[in-house]
Amino acid sequence: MKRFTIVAASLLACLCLAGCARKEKTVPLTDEQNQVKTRLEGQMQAAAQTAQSYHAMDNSVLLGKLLEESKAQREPFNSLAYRELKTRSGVDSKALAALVKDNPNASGLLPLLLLRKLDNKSYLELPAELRAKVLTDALGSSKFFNTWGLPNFYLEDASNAMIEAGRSATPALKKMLSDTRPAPLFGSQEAMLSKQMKYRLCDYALFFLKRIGGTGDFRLPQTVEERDALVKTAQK
Amino acid sequence: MKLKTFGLVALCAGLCFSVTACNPTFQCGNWVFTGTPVGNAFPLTSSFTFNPAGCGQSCPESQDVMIQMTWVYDDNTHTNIYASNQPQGARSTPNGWNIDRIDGAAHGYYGLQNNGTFYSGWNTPGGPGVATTLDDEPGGWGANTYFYAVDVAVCYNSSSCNNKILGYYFWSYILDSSDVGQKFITAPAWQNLDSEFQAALTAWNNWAPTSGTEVDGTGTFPHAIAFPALSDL
Repeated sequence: MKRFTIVAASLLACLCLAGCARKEKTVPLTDEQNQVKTRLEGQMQAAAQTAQSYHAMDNSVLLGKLLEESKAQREPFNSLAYRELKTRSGVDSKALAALVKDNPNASGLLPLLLLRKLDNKSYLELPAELRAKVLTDALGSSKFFNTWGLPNFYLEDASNAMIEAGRSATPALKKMLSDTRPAPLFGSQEAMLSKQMKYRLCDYALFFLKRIGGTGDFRLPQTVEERDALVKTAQK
Repeated sequence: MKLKTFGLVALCAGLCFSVTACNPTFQCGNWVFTGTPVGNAFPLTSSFTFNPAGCGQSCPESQDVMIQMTWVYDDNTHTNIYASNQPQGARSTPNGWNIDRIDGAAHGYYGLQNNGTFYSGWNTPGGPGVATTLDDEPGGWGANTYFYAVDVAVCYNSSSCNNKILGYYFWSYILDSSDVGQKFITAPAWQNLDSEFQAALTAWNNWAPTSGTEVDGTGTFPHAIAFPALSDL
């Protein structure tokens, strides 16, 4: 009888302690919830391990990875090497500049942007024509435009670099005015807005040309027709 | 004899914990989720109808809206990925979860524009018995991407129950090896995700004063706006 009382009291105490003072139902997770919970936890662990493995690499190895990821057109914020290197001091500016000079096209984008972030003086010492070549090549070969941001909403570092490159970028940008291929963004709200705005490569080119031309507060018109009219004028 | 009793109590306690542990997160209403992947996009709506009486509360004339946090994983490189520079780093939790807002938005509430109104294409506010609905269409992600989200319904700008969390919902989709979207699991969220959500709020709040100017076309703020303290109803 005594034992029964102890067990009953334990059960009652357990029910209270198990968080059931709350008002919600206390049902265990379904198999489906458990399955995704396990997968998600495993992936979170894998992501942490990957970041740790990059953290353990020395600068020269990371610069090699950076170039690989640049050639693969990874966005700066999705390049593991870029993420790691931007947090470090002592990254060799000359090595970064050499990567840009050896890759004077879209492949040089990540080293170029990293140099701009870590050592702006050395970045500005690169010829403006070289910076413009890397940036315009990268813009022209973009499949998704997250690297550049979404004009009228936000600009990423690459867009600010393009505007800084100034008139050196103008000839290549003018050529892009006739390219009407879509310029989508991946993401959540980014993807929805880019779908809504229907920007094309020529719209990005127009935006940069206007900003470089001195219209610092230029905003792209909402409709394709209005933008087309401005593109026509800019082509003259 | 004493040992036998102790063993019996321990067994009961273990059984009790496994059966009754409060694994799902707090819910004070009902979720309805609809959506089917199209290509590599996933157009969806996530609705929550607040039922205060169902959890012994009364929140007259309250308004509820949504906050969404996301975690996106690239299975090729085993890392989490982002749509823009802003969420990575300081705006994310140590695990990489972050409040889902586009760069330029000063507020962390999913549909709240800088002019203080809710954009109906993203989130329609609700109230007791009236659904708040979140619209999203993630897309464009590469092959072998896992997209996870947690939607959280909260009382906002309300005369009663303000800043109270009303429920959590988990949804996900996968881009397969051909970059075709496949619906993954959608279900009420579970514990740990609610603490991850609190961590995402903290990350947002720590980052907000340092964000720099936020411009979304409807208004401008010198920096992003921190969330108030939010807790379960």
